[in-house]
Amino acid sequence: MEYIVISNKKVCGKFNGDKLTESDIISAGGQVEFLLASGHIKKAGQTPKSVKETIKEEPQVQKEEPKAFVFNTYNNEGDK
Amino acid sequence: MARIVLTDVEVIIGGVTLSDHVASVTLGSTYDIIETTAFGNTGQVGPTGAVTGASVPSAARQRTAGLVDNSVTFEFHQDFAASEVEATIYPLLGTVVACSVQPVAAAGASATNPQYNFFALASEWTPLNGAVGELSTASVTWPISGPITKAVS
Repeated sequence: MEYIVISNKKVCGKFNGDKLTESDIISAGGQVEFLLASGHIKKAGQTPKSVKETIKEEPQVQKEEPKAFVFNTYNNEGDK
Repeated sequence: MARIVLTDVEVIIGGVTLSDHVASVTLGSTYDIIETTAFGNTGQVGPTGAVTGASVPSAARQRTAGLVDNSVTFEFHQDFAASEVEATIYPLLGTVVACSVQPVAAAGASATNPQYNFFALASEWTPLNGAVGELSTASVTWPISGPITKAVS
């Protein structure tokens, strides 16, 4: 498994953008879980979630069409 | 030998170089003192434990070294930004973490720039410390689990 340094700090002797293997990390006294949890490294090949994944589709609401105005005896004073 | 003014000490904690946020480091070792005085055995004792000298004017206690107690003290400049001090130290609390300190940051260790490696127990942390107008710092003293190894090559 390979990891990429995403930290501003030097991690196990490597800089931001450099690749590290698990054995590199262990031999430098690091712990993979800790470095992942603290945001110093990420798994190589891990890409950020696509926009399509992050945007939820809004449920389509059926719009009621306005009813046609009905001219009847209740709203037509002149029709009394 | 040349004296040294510390300006570029390298501090690595859990594989992460935090030197630019550390203002002070103290690495110390203290041996337990075990008394070995026995009746009739109060003369001068050499490194091998053998009585080397003639009888001394007055009886004296004899001692030997017991277990060594190592510890390290760091003074951090607190920083809550991503992958900085808080993000690095907080997940390590309560665990034993590999640390390394070297007088001058360099690719390799040498006899004149040794690298000290040890495992410290991150037993204390002060995330917020300071008065109004002061720099936020965190001073910690962590006991070391096991020996300190000194690399010179």
